Parts: sequence; C-alpha cells; structure tokens
Amino acid sequence: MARKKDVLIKNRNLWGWVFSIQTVIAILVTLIYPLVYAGVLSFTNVRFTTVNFEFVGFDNYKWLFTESAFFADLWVSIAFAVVSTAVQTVLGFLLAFMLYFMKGKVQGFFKTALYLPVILPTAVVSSMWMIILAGDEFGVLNVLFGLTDPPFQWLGDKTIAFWAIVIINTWRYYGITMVIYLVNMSAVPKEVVESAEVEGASRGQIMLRIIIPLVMSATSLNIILSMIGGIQSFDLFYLFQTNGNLTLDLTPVGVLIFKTGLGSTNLRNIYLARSVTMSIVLTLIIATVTVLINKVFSRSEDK
Amino acid sequence: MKKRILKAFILFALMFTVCFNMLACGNKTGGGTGDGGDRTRQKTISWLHIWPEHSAAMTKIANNFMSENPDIKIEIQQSTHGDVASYLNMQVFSGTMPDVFFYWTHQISPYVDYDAVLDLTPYVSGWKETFIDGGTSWDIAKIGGKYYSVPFRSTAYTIVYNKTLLETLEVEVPTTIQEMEAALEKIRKSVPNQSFAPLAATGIAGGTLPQIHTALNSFVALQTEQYLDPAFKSNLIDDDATANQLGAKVLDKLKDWVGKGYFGYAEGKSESTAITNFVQGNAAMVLMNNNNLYLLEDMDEEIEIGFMAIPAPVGVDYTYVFGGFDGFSIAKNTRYPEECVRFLKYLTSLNVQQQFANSESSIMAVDGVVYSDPDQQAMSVAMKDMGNSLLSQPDAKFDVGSYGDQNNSLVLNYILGKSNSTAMQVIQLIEENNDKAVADAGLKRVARTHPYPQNVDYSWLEIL
Repeated sequence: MARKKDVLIKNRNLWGWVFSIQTVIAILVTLIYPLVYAGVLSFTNVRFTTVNFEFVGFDNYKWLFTESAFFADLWVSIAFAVVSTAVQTVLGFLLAFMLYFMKGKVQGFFKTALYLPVILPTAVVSSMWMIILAGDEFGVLNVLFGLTDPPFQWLGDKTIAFWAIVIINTWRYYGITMVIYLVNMSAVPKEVVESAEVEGASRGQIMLRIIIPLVMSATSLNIILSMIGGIQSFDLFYLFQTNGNLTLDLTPVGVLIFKTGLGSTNLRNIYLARSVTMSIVLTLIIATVTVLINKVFSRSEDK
Repeated sequence: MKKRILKAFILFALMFTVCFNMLACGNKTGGGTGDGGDRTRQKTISWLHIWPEHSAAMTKIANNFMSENPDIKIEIQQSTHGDVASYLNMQVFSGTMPDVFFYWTHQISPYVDYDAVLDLTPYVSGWKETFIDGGTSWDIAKIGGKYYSVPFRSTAYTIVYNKTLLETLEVEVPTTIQEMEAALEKIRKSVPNQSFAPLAATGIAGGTLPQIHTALNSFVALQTEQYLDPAFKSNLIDDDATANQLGAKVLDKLKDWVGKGYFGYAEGKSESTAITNFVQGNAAMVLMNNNNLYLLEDMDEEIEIGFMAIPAPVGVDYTYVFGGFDGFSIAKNTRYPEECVRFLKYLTSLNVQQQFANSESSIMAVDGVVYSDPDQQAMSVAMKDMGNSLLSQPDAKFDVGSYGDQNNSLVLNYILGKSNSTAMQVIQLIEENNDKAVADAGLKRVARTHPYPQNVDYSWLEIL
C-alpha cells in the first residue's frame, strides 16, 4: 500500500514536471536567454550586426566608466527620478486623501477626471505640452504671462527645462499614485476613522496618525514604481528633443542608451555592445535602488 | 505507468513542435514580403515611405501602379521623418527590410556598407538621363562608382523674401554674402523692433540657424579648396590650425549676427513659427523648407515674394542650399528586384512626378515637371545648386554620431550667446569629439594634403 502511494506521488511529480515544461521554456526563451545574451554582448565589439565581431574583454565597461556620458546623463535621470517621485507621491497622496472623504458619484467623477492624463498617449502629451511651453511668441504660457518680447525659453535652459519636464511627468502619472493610495486607504476600516472623528481628531491628525502609517506599503510601492520609471525615463525627453526645442544638455541616460544602440541616423554610429553594457549597469543600479527602498520601508513597517 | 508518461511526454513534444512549425509557416505565407499569391502568381512588394501628410497621394500612386501591373501587389509601410532611421535599423537588424524603402539619397552609404542595398547600376542606362541636369542628383549619392538610390523629390531650404517690403525699404536682393550682411543691417536699422526678424530663423538643434552655420563653413571649404583634397569625400581630414581659426571666425560671425538681431528672436523658435512671422509681416525673409511652401498660402496676395539660396562670398561661384533628395532604394535581399525596379521607374515617371508636384506642392527630381504655381517654380530655380556634387560626401567614412548632440549643443549655445567658452575652445571641443568618433569607427584622421590657395579674401568673416 505504501509502495503504491510512493508510485502515485512519484508519478504526480513527473506530471508536474511535464506540465511545467512550457513555462520553463517560456522563461528560458524570454528571460534567461536575453539576459545571458546581453551579458555576452557586453564583452564584444558588436556594433550593429553580430557578424565579424570580437570579444574585447572589459573594454566596453572601461569605456563606460572613463569616456562615455553615462554618468553625466545618469545624474540627470536620478535627479529627475528623485524630484518627480517626491512631488508625485505627495500630490498623489493628498489627492487620494481628498477623494477618500468624498462619496458616491462625486468621488467617481473626480477619480475619473484626475486619472485622465494617465491614459493619454505620450505623443499626445508631448505635442500638447510643446504647444504650451513653446519658446516663441505663440507659446501658450508665454502669451498667458505676457512673456513674448523676448519670448521666454521654458525648454532652452537646463534648470528650467528640468522642472518643466518634472511638472509634465507628474501631471501625467500622479493618477497612478493616487489610485494606489486610494485603494489602500479604502482598506482602512471606516470605524477607525469614524472613532477618531468622534474623539475630535482633525483631518490632519487622521492623516498623520492613522492613514499614513496604514498605507505605508502603498508609499513603498509608489516610490519604487516612480523611481524605476524616473531612472528609466526616455519618451518625454526624446520626443521633446526630437520634435521640440528641449535643450540637448538635458539628456537622461535612457535616451543615451537608445541613441547609442539603435537611434542613430547613421548605421556607422551604432554601438550595440556599448548600449547593452550601459543597460546592464543601469539595471544593476535600478535593482540596488529598489532593494534599498524596500529595506528602508520594511524597517519602518517593522517599527 | 512509465510508458504512459513517456507517451504523454512525446505527444506533448510533438504538439509543441507542430505549434512552432505552424507559427513559422504562418510567418512565411502571411508576411508582408511573402509570396502569398503563389496561387495567383501575384508578387508582393513592401514599400516604406515617411510622409503621413502625403499618405493619400502615396496610396493613390500604389493603387494606380497595381492596376497597371496586376502581377504586383504593393504593401505600404509608413514611418516618419524623425523615426525612419531607427525603424530601418531595426529592419536591417532583424532581416526584414522593406523591398523598396525611403532614405535620403546622399545618406544611403551606411546601409550600403552593411550590404543591405541593391546595386542599381545595371538599370541606370536611359533612366538617369531623365532626371534634372542629366541626373546629377544621382551622382551626389554615387558610392564606389555605383548607384544605390533613386531621387524622388527635392527637400531643401531656401530663403523666401518679401519683395514688396524690400523694395519699400530700398534693399536690393543680395547676390553675395557681403550684400546679405548689408541687407540684414539695413533692414534691422529700418525696423528696430526686436520682435521683427530681418531673416526669421529657428535657433534650435537641427533648426535653420545651425544651417546658416553650415552654409558659412561650406563657403570656407570652397575658398580654402578643401573640397579638392583627396580625403575630403571621406570626411576624414584632420582640421589644422588654419581651418580651426577659420571655423572659430565663422562661429563669431554668426554670433555677431544673432547679437545684432538679424534673426529676431531665433532661440527656441520652430520653423512653422518662423514662417508664420514671415506670413504675418513680422519678418522680411525666412529660411524654410520647400515642402512647407503651402504655409505661404495665407500670405496677403498683394505682397510679392521671391526665392533665393544663401549667397556665397564675392568671387565664389556658388549658392548654398541645405538639403538633398528624398529617395528610394531597394533592399538587397528582396525576392523581386525586377519588380521593385519597375515600381521605382513608375515612381519616377514624368506622369507620376507631375501628379505628385501638382497635388503635394513638391519640387520633383525628374526633368520636365512643370510647376503651374509660380512660387513652386521660383523655388525650384533657387534650389538649382542642390544637385551640385562639389561639397557632397557620399563616401563619408564616419559620422560624429553619438557625439553629434554635444557638438550641436556647443555650436547652438555659442551662436545664441549662451556659452562661456571662446569660439576656439568650442572648435577644440568639437574636434575632440570628432577624434573620438573617428577612433570609435576604427579609423584615423588624415592631414590635409591639398595646399591652401594664396591671396584668398576672408574679409567677409571679419566682424563689422
């Protein structure tokens, strides 16, 4: 009897292996293979095609640390990620807190209205903001504030352009932060808040003493998502540089990686191996940042 | 039991293989360039263009061709001006190049280097001669004695001037760069309002202000006879002290013009705004692309306009037109080269070129196209020097590429007066970037061997 049971368990395990084959293959093909391939590429001098390439050891890494604009542009990405995350998290939280106390259709209306920018395509967002921030006498902001003689350059100066892009990015993504917070706030028992109100707690006290500690996991999630998105930032900068007048001095590392790898107008200037090398280093940096944020929040949650 | 499991495993593996094979077969028969019409013997050609604004005209051309050639089916792919390079790069990388694809004729050489383009030389006889000036437009893209690109239409920047206003201000239409400077100065003094531009230009990366910088550099290349150096076409000449000094003078000259307000408020201005300034009477001239000609339709009909290229210094028989030809090439791995050539010949037939010129206000590449619109006709005349291969570098062995953004930024910031560096420092930084780009390409820059001509008058570069 015991032997029959053993056979059944063994067979069940075998069937388990058989049915997991497709998943294993999918992971191997879509995740492991590209990662290993990228790792191998980073030690080659592949420019555009994998024909006639050579292994060059750590040359690409040496180039990255000594000659490339990687760290200068990474600084732009990190500064952008930190500032955007801070603004977006605070704004998203406050809006969610406001919505939390609204009821029924009013909440539904504002929730939808505030979430709208998230669903707009990047091309639409960039076109719209290019018109608003145009550095000529027809720019919406310039006309609005009478800054036409001479026209104010919203995107021509590195510092001003940085804040302009932060505002656009925040306007576009605060909806996601807000919804994540709102979902978490909805899980806070109403009785807790109502009891606090009965005890005479103000909205500010409720926010500080009850809501913020109870939505700490949402804060952690929002910060991680926003930081990763910020460090990887590409589309807004790229579109504003190629179709608008965003100064080329403000280039995040994502744009640099794209231009090095595929975005050059000239095939001769494509350095796929270097682009891959930068991607690998950027991935490691993002992974480190994510782990650090997680650690910080897990400690504060433990307390 | 083990046998049953083994059978199940084999069955599973077979199903997996069948699924993959079906997917693979599906790709072969359903793909854009696949011969899905084996049964009907219709051959499918994919055709990439970059003009969403002309998509109706392109579809009409494809439909007319297909009705005249029922054995060929055209599948249109569309990219955009800004994205076509990365789009094509991906296609080359994945081996899925469109059979017939758009690219600028004078910039096709990198794809030729990667052996991705069909040599059209065997088909040229009797075809090239039908183009403007007997096909000089083909020659600016001649690589290693072979032809790889067929010009379709011109795309270039010329100066459009308000003839009525210039007459009122008693300003002669300039024929040399010295006269141009004098004209800009006279207009500036006549209309001191800074929001009025004597010559509306766009002070953004890739804008028309950097083009004027390129124009002035071209005049220097002509005066110094740099174009006669054997290494000129390869773009590998290592600029010496003389060249660097002249380069710095060009930067200073343009910075001086910007500072004197010859371009009005150029910084951050888009081309459409510059043209609007001109149309609304807030600019005496504008440097604009011929494909934006339709934007002048809103201009007051009583105002007469004229067209000209950027004039060269006294003694230099040349006018500068920034541009080239929008062209089409054939992928080397196409299954239907003859059919692709047939399609290209159709695209460059006088009938199709005339239709495109009429409906899309374009300046075409083929000889004999008649422009009923006088502005279009005048612009085509102003663009006459564009086919001049004197300064073209179709065999350029490197491009400043990933350092290009830095160089563009350096030049733009300097001429807009936003840089703390001197002109010579800017030139040196650009040279360092060029050195890096050449080294990256595994090449070496070479010293100029052609001697500098004597008694050349560079006084036009002096600050007045």
